[in-house]
Amino acid sequence: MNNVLNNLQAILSNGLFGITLTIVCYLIGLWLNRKFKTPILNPLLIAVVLIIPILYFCRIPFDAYNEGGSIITVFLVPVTTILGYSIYLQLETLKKYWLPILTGCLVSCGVSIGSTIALCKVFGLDETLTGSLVPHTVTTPIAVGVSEKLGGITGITVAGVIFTGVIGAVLAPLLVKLFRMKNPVGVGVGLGCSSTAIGTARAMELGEIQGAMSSMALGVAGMMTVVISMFL
Amino acid sequence: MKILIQLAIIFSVCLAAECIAAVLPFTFPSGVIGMILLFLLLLLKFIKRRHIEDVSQFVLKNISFFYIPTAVSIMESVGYLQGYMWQFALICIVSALLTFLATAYTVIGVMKLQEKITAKKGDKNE
Repeated sequence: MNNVLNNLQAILSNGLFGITLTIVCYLIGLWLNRKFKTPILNPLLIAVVLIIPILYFCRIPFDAYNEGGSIITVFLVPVTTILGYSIYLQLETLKKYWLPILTGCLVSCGVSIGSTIALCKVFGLDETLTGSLVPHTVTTPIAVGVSEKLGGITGITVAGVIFTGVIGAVLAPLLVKLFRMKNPVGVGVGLGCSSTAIGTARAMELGEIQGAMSSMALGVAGMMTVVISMFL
Repeated sequence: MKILIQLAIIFSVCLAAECIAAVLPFTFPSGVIGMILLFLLLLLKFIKRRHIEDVSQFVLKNISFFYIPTAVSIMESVGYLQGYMWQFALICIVSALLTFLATAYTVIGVMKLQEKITAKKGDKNE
């Protein structure tokens, strides 16, 4: 019995376990998302909601899962890089709308950073938590860098980014309907600036222009946030 | 073979971006440098669209997959957040929605302004 348990331990901390679990849960998420077509059933959210309880109830430590998980995380740099390709695909739209996009991203940085700092003050959060939350509307790799710089805890930053992304991806399309926004450029830039890559994935579902505007805004707003955070 | 070549191209761009990030005097995320670099290389036609098309399309379609392990790491930081859960959630929700509305309406406003200006120019030309 002990022998079996030991072997199980070895299998669980093998990188393949984390990768397989992630792919299977993502596929379940995709399947549910296609079947029910509601933004709340976001594949990322479903995967996370499946994986965390599985690890928790089977008493599998996060580090064992992350043996495989970290291999997937390595690909975040190429994934962010590939956003450059999706921007290139929309070169014509970019040429046409560069001014509204740049202004929108600048406003988004101001509103996001300003409202986050103000809300943190209102709720009496300490500097560490504030620093962790300031970059919560920019894409994960940028947010982590900014948070480190501001003395935040990166784990909380990632949680904030993902939570914000899911909230934005779910609620922003509802706001679009509520306020009857018909401008795909505005919606795309808004999603990219407020809800990071999860919002961008959602924007891609809304339409090609929305998706491209969103990935462009994601990059531009991220860069602007890095620059602004240098002065915070 | 085709996929391997495409992967090699994309990873090379990333590695170049990592080098640039290491040289820069301030911290700038290497992914964003890679994004700018790839965009410029495509713009200058050093890389053609077909050189990276298949891998890029696959990745863009499944982009949220790559964020799953990072998202799962939330379970590690729950301890720090204890006692601040609802504030944390409220700050994220309020600030995200404010940012979305402000940004979307700024873009829509600037576009309308541009339309007006071009319309005026058109009037003068007539």
